[in-house]
Amino acid sequence: MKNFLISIGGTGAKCLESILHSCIAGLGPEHLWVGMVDQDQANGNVSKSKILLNKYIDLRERLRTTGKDDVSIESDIFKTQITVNKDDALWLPLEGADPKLSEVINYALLKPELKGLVDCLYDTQEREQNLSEGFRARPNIGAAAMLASVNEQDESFWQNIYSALEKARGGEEVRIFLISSIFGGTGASGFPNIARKIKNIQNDMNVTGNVHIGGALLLPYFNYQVPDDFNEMHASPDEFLDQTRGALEYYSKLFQHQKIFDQVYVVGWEPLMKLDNFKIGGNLQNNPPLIPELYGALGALRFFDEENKMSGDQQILHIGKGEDNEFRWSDLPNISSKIDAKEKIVQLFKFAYSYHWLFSPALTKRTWKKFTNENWFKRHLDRSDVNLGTEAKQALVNDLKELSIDVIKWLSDLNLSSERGSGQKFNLLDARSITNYDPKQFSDRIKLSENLTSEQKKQFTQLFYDSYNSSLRDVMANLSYLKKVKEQSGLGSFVDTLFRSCI
Amino acid sequence: MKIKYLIKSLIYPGIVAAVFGFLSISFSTLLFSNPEDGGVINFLANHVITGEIESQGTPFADAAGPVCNVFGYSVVTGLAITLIFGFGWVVISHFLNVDGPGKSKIYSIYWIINSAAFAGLLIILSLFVFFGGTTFLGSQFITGGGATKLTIGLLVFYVLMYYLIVLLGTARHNRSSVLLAFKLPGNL
Repeated sequence: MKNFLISIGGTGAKCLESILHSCIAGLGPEHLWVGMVDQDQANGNVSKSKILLNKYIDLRERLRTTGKDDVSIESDIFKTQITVNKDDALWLPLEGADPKLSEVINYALLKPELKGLVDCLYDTQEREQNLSEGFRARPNIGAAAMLASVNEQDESFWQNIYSALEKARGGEEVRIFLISSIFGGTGASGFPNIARKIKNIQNDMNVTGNVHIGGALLLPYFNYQVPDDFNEMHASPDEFLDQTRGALEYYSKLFQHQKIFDQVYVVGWEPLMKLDNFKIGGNLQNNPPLIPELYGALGALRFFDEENKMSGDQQILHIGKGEDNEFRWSDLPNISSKIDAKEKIVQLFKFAYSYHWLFSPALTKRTWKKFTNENWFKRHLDRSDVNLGTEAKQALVNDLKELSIDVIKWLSDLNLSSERGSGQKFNLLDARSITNYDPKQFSDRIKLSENLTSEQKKQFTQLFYDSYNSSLRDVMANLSYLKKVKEQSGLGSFVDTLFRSCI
Repeated sequence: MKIKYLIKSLIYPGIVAAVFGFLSISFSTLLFSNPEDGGVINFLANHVITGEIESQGTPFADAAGPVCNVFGYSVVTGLAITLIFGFGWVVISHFLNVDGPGKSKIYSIYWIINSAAFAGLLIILSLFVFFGGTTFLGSQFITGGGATKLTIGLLVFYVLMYYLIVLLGTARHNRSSVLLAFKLPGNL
């Protein structure tokens, strides 16, 4: 089965961040092609997910190289083989430094009667707006730009879709999932147009079966305060609900007339989560991860799961949390009967915690020799193919540390920012006991200390609410007793066993 | 802490205990059966029991029986002490809070205290049993040199047994706390 994921816009990128973390935890399918769509390529949300995506691909390759550092095919960590478009994972619908709608539609060359029509649809500000920072929550601009550019069949981004559909013609099942918000500019305009484009390509290629399209639409789930003196065209949270109503009416009609999607996951949140920082776009727009994005991510992973059989009808799926004002692990859906999302996410966090605070300090170039007599080291690292003194091994040790920091910050931020934004009680983990949280910061809201106190280490047993909590002693014991996998080599044995030890 | 790890850790110490226990119980059974001749009696006659007893009017056979009983008692008690302290440490080592790399060494002090208490108790037992106590009739027939030999013999046997039990049975993640245990292969 071939799986394709297209994240559209800033919200799509935020959902991709959750998908990537879930894939590190082993929640994803065997193979996944990922494409990102956003006009605002410098956007903080987009670039953060893109960096994580590249980090994932790089680390997975280095941890699954037979004979070098191999966690083995049986391991769940980094299970999903993610591939991207060879040129760039990110597709910009409009090329050029400062694209404008008037240039896209060649406004100056239009006949007067067509100009009149365009004038009815777009005012001067919309026509001449610099779109390098996205479509500013104007789906009418985004739709025109998308429609004008998705016909570029030569673009390598679209070539991947064509080749996927070729495979479907050959009998292989292909699943394509789109994920975006319904209320923004890029997402709202890209979601239906890209889906329809794929459907049209499928029809043109006369591929009648084996292709399933799914999507996750995120209804408004956050808002923010726009300064009174801000005059530039921007995404206004006051318009989100109206835009959403219009979009839902549009989808309702679309779904009646044409079967595009096999499954659509609709996610929303009540009340809307308040964000502390307003940024129009660009690299300073770096929103915190929020729980609805994780719902969207789990929807995508459920769609790709082999247990998920397509009924042939157009399914609209929705999920709600419990009625009370509290969010718990039990409010998170599972991906399938075999895969427990909560269990895997908790396991990933414990792995990141253990690696970052306990083991990476013991694996540095200066320190590792002090631990060669310890059982965990003897079992997993005391072999000729693991020489921690080499630059390559140290680079891997450091990159794993960076990844662990990403994971700790992601889940801590997800819990704390969702709680702060919604005013609801988020009982996932006690993130405050191990991090410093400053919601006013644009990019570095979560700060981690270099070392933990013994009191903080003791708190490990109470770190997760509503969940089985093992102790760090259990992690150490598991690392010393869990059965090793024969095919593992290099640092792979240590990484995989530590991950399995963190249950 | 998973109980299955503890059970796994008990396999090798269990073998050690079975071998040493078998020797110990066989020997004590022999001693309690009041043998009249054989290697044990010869050893007691030559090295342990005072040569003056017959001149004092006590037949050797009357002294050998109580001495064998004292010796047998010390062998059984020594075995019990060794098993309690050895397996006690094996169990405790699985529950000590080794919560990160390098932490195990801290618990070597616990192991030293446990080992010192074990050895101290064995010595107290020997002092109590062999060195002139009045509780046991046989004690009065044992010479100072003989008592020292029996004490050293008991100590060597049971310290070896204790060490093998803790060496092979200490929780893998806590091996740095036991002398030379880190030399064992990682998967043993």
